[in-house]
Amino acid sequence: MMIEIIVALLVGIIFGTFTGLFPGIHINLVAAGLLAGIGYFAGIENIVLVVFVVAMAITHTFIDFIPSVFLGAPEEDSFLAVLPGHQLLKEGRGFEAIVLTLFGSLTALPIILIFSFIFIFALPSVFELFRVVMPYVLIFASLYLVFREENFLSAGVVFILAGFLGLFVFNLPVREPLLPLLTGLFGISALVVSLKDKIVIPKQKIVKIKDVKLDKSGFFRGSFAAAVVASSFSFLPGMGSGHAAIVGSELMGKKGEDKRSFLFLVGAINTIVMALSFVTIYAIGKTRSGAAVAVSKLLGEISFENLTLIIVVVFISGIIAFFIGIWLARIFSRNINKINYGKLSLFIIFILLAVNLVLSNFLGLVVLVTGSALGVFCITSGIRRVNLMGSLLLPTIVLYLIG
Amino acid sequence: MRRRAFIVVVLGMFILALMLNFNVKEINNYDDLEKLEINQKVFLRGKVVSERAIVKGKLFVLDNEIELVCECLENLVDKEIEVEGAVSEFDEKKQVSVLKILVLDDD
Repeated sequence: MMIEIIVALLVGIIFGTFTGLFPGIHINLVAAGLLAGIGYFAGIENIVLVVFVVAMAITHTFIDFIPSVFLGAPEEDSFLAVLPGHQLLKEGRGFEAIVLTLFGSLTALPIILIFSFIFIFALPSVFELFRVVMPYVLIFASLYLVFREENFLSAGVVFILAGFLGLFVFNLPVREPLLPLLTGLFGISALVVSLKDKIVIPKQKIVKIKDVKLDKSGFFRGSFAAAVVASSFSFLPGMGSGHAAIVGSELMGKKGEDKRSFLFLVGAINTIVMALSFVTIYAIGKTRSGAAVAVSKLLGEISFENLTLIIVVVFISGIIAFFIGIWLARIFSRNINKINYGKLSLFIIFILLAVNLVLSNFLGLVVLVTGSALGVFCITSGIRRVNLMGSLLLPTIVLYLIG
Repeated sequence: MRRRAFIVVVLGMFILALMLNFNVKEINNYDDLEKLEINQKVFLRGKVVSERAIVKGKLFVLDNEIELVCECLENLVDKEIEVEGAVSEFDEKKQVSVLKILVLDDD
């Protein structure tokens, strides 16, 4: 049994690395495939399969920043890192950007441990209160997001258009709705603009890990914001890393606008939200991520022993994924400037289109084109792209207030 | 580029708004329903063979095996109905969330 668990852990880490590196291949896809083909694993105990799913999910949260930063190809959980990450890449600091997200994810591990205990004891009693309060927090965050812009009228237009696009997407029969929405808004749009601007990626500086430092204030504010916000957003329906990152960056004040602190924050949030989604099943019996659905289906009811094993797997796979992330970031950093970035951007646009055509449907294609155009409009209007988060914020506010 | 992008956004939104309002498919049985994506607007007819109370209203089962989730309290067993709704899913089983319901043989 022990050997089976270790093998499942290692295979999960390999799969998580793969899903993290390839845009559009989400862990949910692998988890759904595993559940569909459960008959083929009849000889394997379900807890072993759970170890595989957890290791894959946690590794994914460490690795998925690499395509976001180096290729500008976003994933569902890492799309907000495209914005500051790509800027650092253009300054020759792509490696540093990845290390900062990895530091965030690594810092998330002790936070997960602390909040696992808090969740187990407090979540059943505070769940309903958070449910009531959260839409108002999101309304405040949205207004703050828009009115903070110098040109708040244009920002308001971008936010509302993105919001309506989100409302359409979540009320139309779009297959894999988040894929075309986020790929268009945050991925293809930036690639199209970079094609027009003929961006040349400079040689990337590969610094020693110990030289990548976040100042004390950035570290503590980032860790505090990630802990408070990610834990609050991990158990509520319709909420995710994106919502948490927006509120978290506002909570950090001026530090939230600093690219390096923001990358640390999104790295931490991504891993906390994923890990706590497993604890949420134990605490209140609700599933809040595709991987958590798979774990819940495999185990039925989660015992305290199961939860302990899951947390241990989170820790081990997190530490291994950190080193894999550093290794991959070095490879990407050494080679990215050797490639013609214009051709690479075109190739990535083609890949993203192909992935959307395969995994989504005709309506998804309309969403992809509209989202890409809205992203281009936002960038060329000089509005911060974070206002495009209206696409997730507005539908969530409507869902909570109207039902 | 900015202006062209804005035009594409408006056109895209227009197409999506049209699809939201006019893309309704008629279904006759559960097999038809199973092939559709979540949120697809559907139109169907059938006779209610059973009903039970759920948290947000009632769950009706039609003679064609389609389940309807309705935020309503009416008793509709043995009645012929016409429904406009949207495809939803519960426990990996497709259902229809009722938007409009018309009782055909109501006296």
